[in-house]
Amino acid sequence: MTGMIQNDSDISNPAQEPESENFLFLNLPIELQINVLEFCSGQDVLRVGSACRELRHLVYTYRSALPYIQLYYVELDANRLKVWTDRASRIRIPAGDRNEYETYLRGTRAHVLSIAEANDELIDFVENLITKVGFKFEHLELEREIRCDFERISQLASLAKLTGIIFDTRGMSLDASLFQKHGFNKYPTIYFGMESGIGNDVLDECRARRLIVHQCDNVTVEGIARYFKRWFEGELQLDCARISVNRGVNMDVIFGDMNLIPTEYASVWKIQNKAKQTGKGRQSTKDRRPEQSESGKVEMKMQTNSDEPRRNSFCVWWHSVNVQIAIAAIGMSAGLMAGVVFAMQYQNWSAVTLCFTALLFSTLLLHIHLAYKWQRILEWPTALFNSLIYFNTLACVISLIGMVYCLVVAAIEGQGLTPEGNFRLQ
Amino acid sequence: MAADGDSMDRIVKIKSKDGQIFDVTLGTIKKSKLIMTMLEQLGDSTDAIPLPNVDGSTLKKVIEWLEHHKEEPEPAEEESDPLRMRISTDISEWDKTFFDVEQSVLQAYILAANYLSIKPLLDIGCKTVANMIKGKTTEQLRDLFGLEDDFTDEERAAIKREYAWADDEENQAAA
Repeated sequence: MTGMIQNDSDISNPAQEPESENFLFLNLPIELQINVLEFCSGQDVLRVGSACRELRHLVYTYRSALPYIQLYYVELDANRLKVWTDRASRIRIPAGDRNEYETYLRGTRAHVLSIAEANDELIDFVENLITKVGFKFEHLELEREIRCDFERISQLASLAKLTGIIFDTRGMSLDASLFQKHGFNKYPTIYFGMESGIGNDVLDECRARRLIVHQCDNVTVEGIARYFKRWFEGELQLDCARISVNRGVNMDVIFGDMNLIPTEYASVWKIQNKAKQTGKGRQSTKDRRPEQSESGKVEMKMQTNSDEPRRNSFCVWWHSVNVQIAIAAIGMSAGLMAGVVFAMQYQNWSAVTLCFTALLFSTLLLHIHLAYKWQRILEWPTALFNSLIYFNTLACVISLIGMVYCLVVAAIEGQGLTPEGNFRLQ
Repeated sequence: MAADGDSMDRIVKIKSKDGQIFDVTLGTIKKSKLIMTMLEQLGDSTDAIPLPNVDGSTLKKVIEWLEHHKEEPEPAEEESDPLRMRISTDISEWDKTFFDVEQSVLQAYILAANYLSIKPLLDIGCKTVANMIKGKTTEQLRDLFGLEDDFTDEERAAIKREYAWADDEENQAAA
């Protein structure tokens, strides 16, 4: 060290010994307190703010300059607010007035804000949250219906500086001109839900780098083909696309005239530009590498519900949710009819009990499948899932053991359908 | 003031609040904006620069830190984080050892860095404190900072409601 201590005759103010062994955070100037908190997570900042009155005041006052509290999903409708801090943890916000919601969402940043049945009042409220309490969100999901003008949605999207927009609405009258007019085509992420009613014309205007089209009836294979062709010809950039349709998809129709090869056959296709793989680069329209291809990023995934190569179509059909619903419904009706018959015809009450137990479980199964089909299952807490798994597994094992036991005993004892029995093993 | 070539070897005298005088080169002390500004104002004066807010022992350690980091360029601008949270994990082993001191001493270093306007030293000090905060429960934070729980029951209930997000992780921290 260059520093050299010299004696000074005027040592009248010796170095003070520290008065406390604690780090006296409150003794720091406010700008340093803020500086420290800038290195903490939003949750840590809140915990600091709940340590004492002075720190609470500090955190409240400087909330807009401190790190955001990261939330995963915020669901808002006219009557309630639900918040998921991550994919699995939902915090129930008691129903209350909107001012309470402002308190909860102050200084938070959500991955997705979902607005159910968006109307002018809700849009006003969200705009207020953005400007007044610093609420931020990356993606806007519009659920069920849109009850306001698309212009309002567009204004909200601009204010929020969205990354993506999710149309999970019913019967939306969004055609290509409105889609373009309101600037929805500029967002990097776009999702169209199954009942959104969008068609090929909107898809033709879409420029999303991340695109999801979920079983939209009006989107045809030709529309999908045009979309990928635009990507292939370098007209638009594409990081990933997930498209599922109700009708059969023929991959040859989509990719037939592009120089692409499938690299993996499964429920998810991965395809790679041949030109990239062989290192040919740009040679002709068909061989050229897409503009957006960053190193090793040409791959994309496409999911289909049918017509997948090397996958048994019976398996696809069997695992479809509609078939599973039908099986559950058949189970219910079988349990009900068998129970009634055993009760009325044979008065075999143990069999009746078993039949109605089967009816109960079939009803539960139907409920689960319907919740899946209508996407209500996404709202179920993790604890409910776990409980259902454990409960059903236990019931399945007990039922299996009971069935084997009953059959063995019935065979040995010569039991028949009636309590008296009518046959015996020889 | 020109701060290149031979001028970096120029000896500057600085005086702590307890009267200790340190000789340091301009190359060592250049990260302190306060001292550089004072040097500009003092011109060719060879008088010791008084630093009435820093005691000798702290100033000695600050000079040691400056000496160790004198060749390092100014840190680049941090990239903006979507969550506005700055990175606190990029502390070198040397700096970790340097700041591995009693908490009151750490506080003295931070206050000195702030007074002398040495941003890199200040940032590392603040990162060290932030790392002490991370993952702690509210009660642990009170112990750390010597704070009293001065909330009324009503305020406590309001905090529990408003800070639902913090509670969620507090449970994890306490587990």
